[in-house]
Amino acid sequence: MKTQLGRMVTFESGDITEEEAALYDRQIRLWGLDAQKRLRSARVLLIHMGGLGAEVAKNLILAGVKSLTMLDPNPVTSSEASCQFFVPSEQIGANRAEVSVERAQRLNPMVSVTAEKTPSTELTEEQVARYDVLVATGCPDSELTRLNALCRRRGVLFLAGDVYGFYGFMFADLGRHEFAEEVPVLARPSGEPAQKRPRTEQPESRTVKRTLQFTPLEDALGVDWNAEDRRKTLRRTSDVYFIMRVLQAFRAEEGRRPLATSADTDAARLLALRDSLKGLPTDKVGDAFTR
Amino acid sequence: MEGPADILPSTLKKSVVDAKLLLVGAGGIGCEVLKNLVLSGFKNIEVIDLDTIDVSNLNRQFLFQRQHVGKSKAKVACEAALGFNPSVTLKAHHDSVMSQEYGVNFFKGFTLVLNALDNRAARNHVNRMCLAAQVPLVESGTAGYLGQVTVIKRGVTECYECQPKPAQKTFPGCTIRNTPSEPIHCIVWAKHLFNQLFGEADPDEDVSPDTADPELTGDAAGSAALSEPAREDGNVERVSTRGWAAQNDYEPRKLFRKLFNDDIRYLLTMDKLWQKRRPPTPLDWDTLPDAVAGSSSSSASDSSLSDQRLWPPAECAAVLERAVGRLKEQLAARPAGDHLVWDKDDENGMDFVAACANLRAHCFGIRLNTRFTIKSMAGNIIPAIATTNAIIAAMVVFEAFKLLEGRLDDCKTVYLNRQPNARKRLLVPCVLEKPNPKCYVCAEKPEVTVRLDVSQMKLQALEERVLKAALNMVAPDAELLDGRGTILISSEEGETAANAPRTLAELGVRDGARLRCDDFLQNYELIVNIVNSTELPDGQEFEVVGDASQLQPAAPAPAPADGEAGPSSADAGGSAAANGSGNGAGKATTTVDDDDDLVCLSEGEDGTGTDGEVPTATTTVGTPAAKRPAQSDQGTPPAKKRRALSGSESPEVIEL
Repeated sequence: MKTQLGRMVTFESGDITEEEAALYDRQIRLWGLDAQKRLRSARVLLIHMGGLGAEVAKNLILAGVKSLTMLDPNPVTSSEASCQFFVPSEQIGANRAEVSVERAQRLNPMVSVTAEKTPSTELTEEQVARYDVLVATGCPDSELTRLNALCRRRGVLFLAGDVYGFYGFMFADLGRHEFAEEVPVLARPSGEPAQKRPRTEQPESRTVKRTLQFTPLEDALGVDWNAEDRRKTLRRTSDVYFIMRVLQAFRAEEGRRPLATSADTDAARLLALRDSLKGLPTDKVGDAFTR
Repeated sequence: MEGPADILPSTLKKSVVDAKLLLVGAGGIGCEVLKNLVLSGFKNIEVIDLDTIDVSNLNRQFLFQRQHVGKSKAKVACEAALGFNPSVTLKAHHDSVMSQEYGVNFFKGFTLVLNALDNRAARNHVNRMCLAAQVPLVESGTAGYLGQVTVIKRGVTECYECQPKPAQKTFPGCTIRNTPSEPIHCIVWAKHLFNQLFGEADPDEDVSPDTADPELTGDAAGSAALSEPAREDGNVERVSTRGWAAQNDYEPRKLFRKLFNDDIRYLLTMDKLWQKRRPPTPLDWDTLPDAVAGSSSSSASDSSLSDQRLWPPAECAAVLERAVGRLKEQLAARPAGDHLVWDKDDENGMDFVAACANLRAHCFGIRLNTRFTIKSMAGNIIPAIATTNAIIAAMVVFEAFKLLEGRLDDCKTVYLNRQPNARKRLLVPCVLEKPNPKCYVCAEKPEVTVRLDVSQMKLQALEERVLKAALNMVAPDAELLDGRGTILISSEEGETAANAPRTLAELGVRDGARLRCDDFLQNYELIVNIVNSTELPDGQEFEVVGDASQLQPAAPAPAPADGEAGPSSADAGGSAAANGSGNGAGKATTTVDDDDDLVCLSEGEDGTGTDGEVPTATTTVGTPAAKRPAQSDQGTPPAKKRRALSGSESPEVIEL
């Protein structure tokens, strides 16, 4: 996890302990000790503790990050009590992040789990810069774009996601991302006959450095799909990208997601939004998604 | 955020509330599935798992915490899930799903069965139970970053056993005993040695030099070797390894001398073996190197963890000495005649195997490995993370929703790939295959052909190794279809015990004989066609051939257990290394033992065909391997593709 934009997540405080090695054994066998050390030094800010936030928190805490700060100004609602598994059912009305701490912490005592009630819209660049990674859920496009820009300026890795019933998306801006990848190497030609070669050779693989340059969310959302040179990309772009734009717009306006219980009125509103969104190629979004 | 009540269509919501589900397995996938079920509004779930909680589960089985180590997975999972929603009815069974208590009627009591298993035997069994009970089954598995979900419905889709699975890798006995060339050969040898010294001794796991090595036959066999009195099974006549060790009070230096010096010298006398091989070097306790020759610095870098450090041979000997001392005490603490059972998580047993494997590797000039690596290979550990399990568990519930809505036509096999495929899909849905009409499990009148030597195979071996181990029956009855209905095997205690030690030929089983085998629990009847064969490859005891037409000379030799051994390519997310459970005599075996391994079925991509390539069998040896869609971009650097993408600044949407 290196970025040129800013800091890389660096090693801290020496080696993995025996206790950590036992707990993380099955994942160290997957991604290696170095990756586990990097995870252990990563400070993560997670915005909004709905159902998706809880899933993200679970997987990060289990993986063994250094700290997870759950940020959410909202109270628990009744329907949440049954779908956000960190929230005890009797806690309706309490702050979503604060009531999640206890159960989240139980998943892994080695991770520092805390809650904050600040609305994400009040997060400053300095506050964002205290983290290595920011994960935003449940935010409108405008807020995601703002947070992404703050992260870019301070070299904080930015991840975003949301779910709407059976639809969902995730977005990543890791800036200029350098990483190592192990690639298999074909057996090296050798002059010696096979049976004389020493039998000490490892199955050949070598590690190569790769670089990815990520696109900020603002650019990803700002594509002019009517431009001539976009035609080909458009054909290859998933319908879900466009459906998500409509769904995000719906929630930004209505302050809630579309519901099965108000399906008819919501469907009409969604179609109106689809037709009003500037530059949206309507043929990519049929009427069926509103169901 | 809205609850499931606000999202699910009302018809589905009703089916969800009314459904009664059986979740088989409360491990990595099981915990995630149970959470999803409870949060999705299911009200009635039974969970079965025979396992107890281990520390190494806690990185992903999130319903468990440190204080639960040692407790029943099924019970703790249900208690934790009740915390999400106290109004659901959960029932935990701390038991094996293969136990007689869970018959066809038990399975008939469920709307759907969801598998979250970690081994092929249990998957095969639940597959048969669901076929017999006519209950739809959602099958799933993960390994590292990879995962898979599929749906099985009797008569409509392939069953779990319709396609032969790549057999778990086994090694010829003489490779293990005489001519190891890979670290895994030494590791298998070390596990066999453990069993010879402390465990349940199996004659097929002999660790001493094998004078019946096929390479030695002919005139030029080592003269010294031949001068020893050899029994017909190739073992030099002497007291058992266990007896010898006990006589010598498990004195580590004497053991060391015998195993790494005397036996190696003996092997050197079989000079034919070493004409084209590097001969092994006998070791002396006092002159072992205390540094690792040419060790790579990477493995030695994390020196604070003993597991991660490469032990030089002298340290291996020291570890061996300590481990043998402790294992001897453990064995002495048992009742007379009892034995130890090797377990990768037992400190001393694992130390013993790591030290012995490396000392043997040192003899043979094979690269040494860290205890960490040896543990992966010896224990067939499949790496596992929460995220993969969470994704697959979500897909399991999506497939369950479709089944409840009666949309079987829309059900898919879904593969989770390590990297997006050429069409930018990380999750690749594929149409469900039709049942294989020749499947020896789900066909109307299932038949299978078994090649074996009727004059050699005892009835007991037929029952234990063929019917139970290879064909996965639990308590078979077998009748010879000779016009008289001779009962060979009865599942009633003692009824046919007298037959057990007799050979098939003595019992009237000849080439072309047909046996009607029946498993009452599985409600499964299978005709076994016997083909007499005295020449089976690699000294195998028998061979299961799904369909007799495969017996053409040109056909590749099917592997013993489940079918064809696929080429072993290791990209399947696994460091999980070689070896697995086999069954032929003289074959080296270990058993799969870990969570969340990969299931295997075949596919054709979503009606549009695969990416122009033949599906490759990807084997993580030791795990049930998978056939996956060949990814055309698998071999190419993914960065290139993605860089091209970001160059054109198009949004990186990956359709799931």
